Amino acid sequence: MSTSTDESPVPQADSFNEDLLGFLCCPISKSLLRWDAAHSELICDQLKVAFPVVTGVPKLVPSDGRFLPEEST
Amino acid sequence: MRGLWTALTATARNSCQKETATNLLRRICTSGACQRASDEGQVQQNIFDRAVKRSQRDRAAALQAGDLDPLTDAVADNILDRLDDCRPSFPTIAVVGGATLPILTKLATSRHATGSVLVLDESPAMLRRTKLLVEKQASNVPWSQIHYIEADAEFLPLQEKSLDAVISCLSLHWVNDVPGAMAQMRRALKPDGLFLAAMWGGDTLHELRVALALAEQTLEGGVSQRMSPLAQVRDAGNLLTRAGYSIPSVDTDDVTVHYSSPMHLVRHLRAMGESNAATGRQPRLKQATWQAAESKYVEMFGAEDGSVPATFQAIYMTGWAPAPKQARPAPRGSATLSFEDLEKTLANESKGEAPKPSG
Repeated sequence: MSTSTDESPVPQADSFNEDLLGFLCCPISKSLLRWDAAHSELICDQLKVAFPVVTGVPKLVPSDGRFLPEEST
Repeated sequence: MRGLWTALTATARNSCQKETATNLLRRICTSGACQRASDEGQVQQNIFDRAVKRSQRDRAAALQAGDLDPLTDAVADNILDRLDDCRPSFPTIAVVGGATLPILTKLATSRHATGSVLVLDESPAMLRRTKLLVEKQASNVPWSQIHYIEADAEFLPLQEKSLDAVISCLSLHWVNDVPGAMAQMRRALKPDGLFLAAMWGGDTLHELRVALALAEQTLEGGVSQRMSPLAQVRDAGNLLTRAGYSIPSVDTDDVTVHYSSPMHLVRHLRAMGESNAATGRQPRLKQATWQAAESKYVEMFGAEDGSVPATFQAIYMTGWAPAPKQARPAPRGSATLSFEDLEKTLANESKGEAPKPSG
């Protein structure tokens, strides 16, 4: 997981279908994910990790996640 | 970094099941994100390099021709046969990659295509290809919703009790922690949900294994891990029970594919994303060794018509998420008749039906 904070992905035209939140959870903690439309990311509040969503496809492989900076939460 | 990692693992340990915490530790140890892990003696040896597998599957997506692969197609057919034997419909299905494309194209025309389907694959290129071809083949996708998710089978991002069926087609043989992955799938299933999986196992590619080992032994004076290890059929039943499935069943199917040369076999393996991804593998194979292996292969296994056969053994696993009203064996000692009585009754019946002429 990278710790960089300045590479928030740009929101894409293919939007994320929020119905998916009924099926998805954090791959590591298994807690529910929160959709952050501004950064196009799925956030696990428990671990403070964000997973990018690119062209509507959530990238939930653990190595694709990034740690959120402490203060932003 | 250290503080963050400690907090992360502590949270994971407290909040989720043991296997996930172990997985997390292992992931962090092997990704090199934190060397502290090894100081604390938490390192577990991974059998497969998942990052390499991911890039191999990306490459495979580029190598695959437009048509469906007949081999994975046959496996997908067999899996979906089992689905058809079951109850009328499964509104929410997750397809965990491996070979997602043949599963989806067949599922689209079956009676199970009603609700939502989730397609999970670790390789972004493979996911894009599947999406493109599914949309092309089924102009009106029969599901009300179809979702594509990049996910690792070892770390399934699926909510507890959210799915009616999980289908894993040819992905579990590349997973380091197979019982863990299967347990995560079980957790994602609703009670009485169905788990269907196929993986290569047992005697798969034993010809290539033998040829490579002999060539290496002769030319390099030793044998290295040219081929990834595979599960044996006898392990599969234990895996299902260990992962907590009820009514487990396992069966196998041997397919022999004939290639024009061993190199064609290797190209096919590459296009399926089934190249060696064992962590202990040697990065390259000397040309002389490969040529020796090729000639050994043809010499030992070649068919009369000049083709070279390769065995693929698919192991199919079926299990159900436990539910209270499920069929299950009666508890021990609850029988009201003894087998001895049954035997006597049967013996009497057979005597009564067909008395011997002499008696």
